[in-house]
Amino acid sequence: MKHHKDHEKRLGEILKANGLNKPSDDYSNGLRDLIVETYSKRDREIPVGNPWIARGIFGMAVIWCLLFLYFFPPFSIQPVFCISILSFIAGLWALIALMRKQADFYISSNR
Amino acid sequence: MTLKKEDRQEDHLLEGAIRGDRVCIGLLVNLYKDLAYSVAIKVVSNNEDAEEVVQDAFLKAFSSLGKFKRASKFSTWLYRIVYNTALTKIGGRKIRTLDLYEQSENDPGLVIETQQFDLLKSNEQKKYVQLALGKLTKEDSLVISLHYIGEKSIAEICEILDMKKSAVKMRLLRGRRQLQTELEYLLNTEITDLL
Repeated sequence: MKHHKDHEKRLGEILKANGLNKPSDDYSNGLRDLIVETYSKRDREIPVGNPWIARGIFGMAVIWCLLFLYFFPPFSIQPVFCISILSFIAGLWALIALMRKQADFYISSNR
Repeated sequence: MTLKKEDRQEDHLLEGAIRGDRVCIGLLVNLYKDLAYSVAIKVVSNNEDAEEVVQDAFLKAFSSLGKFKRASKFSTWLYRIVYNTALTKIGGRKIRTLDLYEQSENDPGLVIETQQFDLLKSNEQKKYVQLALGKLTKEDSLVISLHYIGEKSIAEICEILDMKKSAVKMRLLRGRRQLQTELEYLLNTEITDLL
C-alpha cells in the first residue's frame, strides 16, 4: 500500500513538472489583463453628465407643472379624479419604499 | 493540511474577485490558466482553439462569479466550464476514444525504436512526458492530468467531465498503465519500477 502511494506520489511529481501544457507568456499576460480589466469595472465610478444640466431640466419641469396647476386647477374641475391619482402615487411610493427596504435587508443578510 | 491551506487561499481569492479586487482576479487567472489550457488543448487539439476556449471559459466564469453557489470548489467549476466550452468548440461531439488494445495494435508509433532512447537527455524529459501523455486517449489523458497535476479527486473529475465514478476509475487505471508502458520506453533508466 505504502509502495503504491510512493509510486503515485512520484508519478504526480513527474507529471506536475513535465506534463502541463503551458500557454505562451504573451497569451497568459493578455488573458490576465483582459479578465482584470473586464471584471474590476465595478470599482470604477460610473461617469455622470454635468449635474447642473439635470438640475435645470428638473427645475423647468417643476415650474411647468406649477404653472399648469395654477391655470387649470384640477380640484375645481374633477375632485374624484384628482384624489384617485394622488392615492395611486402615494401607494406606488409606499410600495417602492417597502421593496427597497426588503432588498437592503436581503443583501445585508447574505454578506 | 496543504490542501486545506490551498482551499483557504482559493476562498480568499474568490471573495476578493467577487468584490472586484484586481489583484485577486489576476491571481485567480494565473493560478488556473495552465491546467485550464491543458484541459482545452486535450479536447480541441490545437493551440489557437485552446487559447480561444480558455479565454471564453474565463470570461464566462468570471461574469457568473456572483452566481457561483460554492457547491464545489471554484477550480472544479472553472475546469467544467473549460471542458464544456471546448466540447462546444469542436461541435458538441464527444471526444473520440480509442480502446487501449485497439490503439496498441493500430498505432505504429507506440513502439519506439531503441536507437531513439540514446537521444534522451535530462532537459528533454518534459518532451518525453508530453509524448507519453499524447499517446493516451484524450479522455484518459484528461483524467490523468486532472488527477495528478490538478490534484482533483475522483468525485471532482466526475463533476468536471460529467462521467460516472466507475468510468473515471477505469480511465485512471488504464491511463496509468499505459503511461507506465510509454514512460518505460521513453525514460527507460529513470522510470523502471516507477509505477
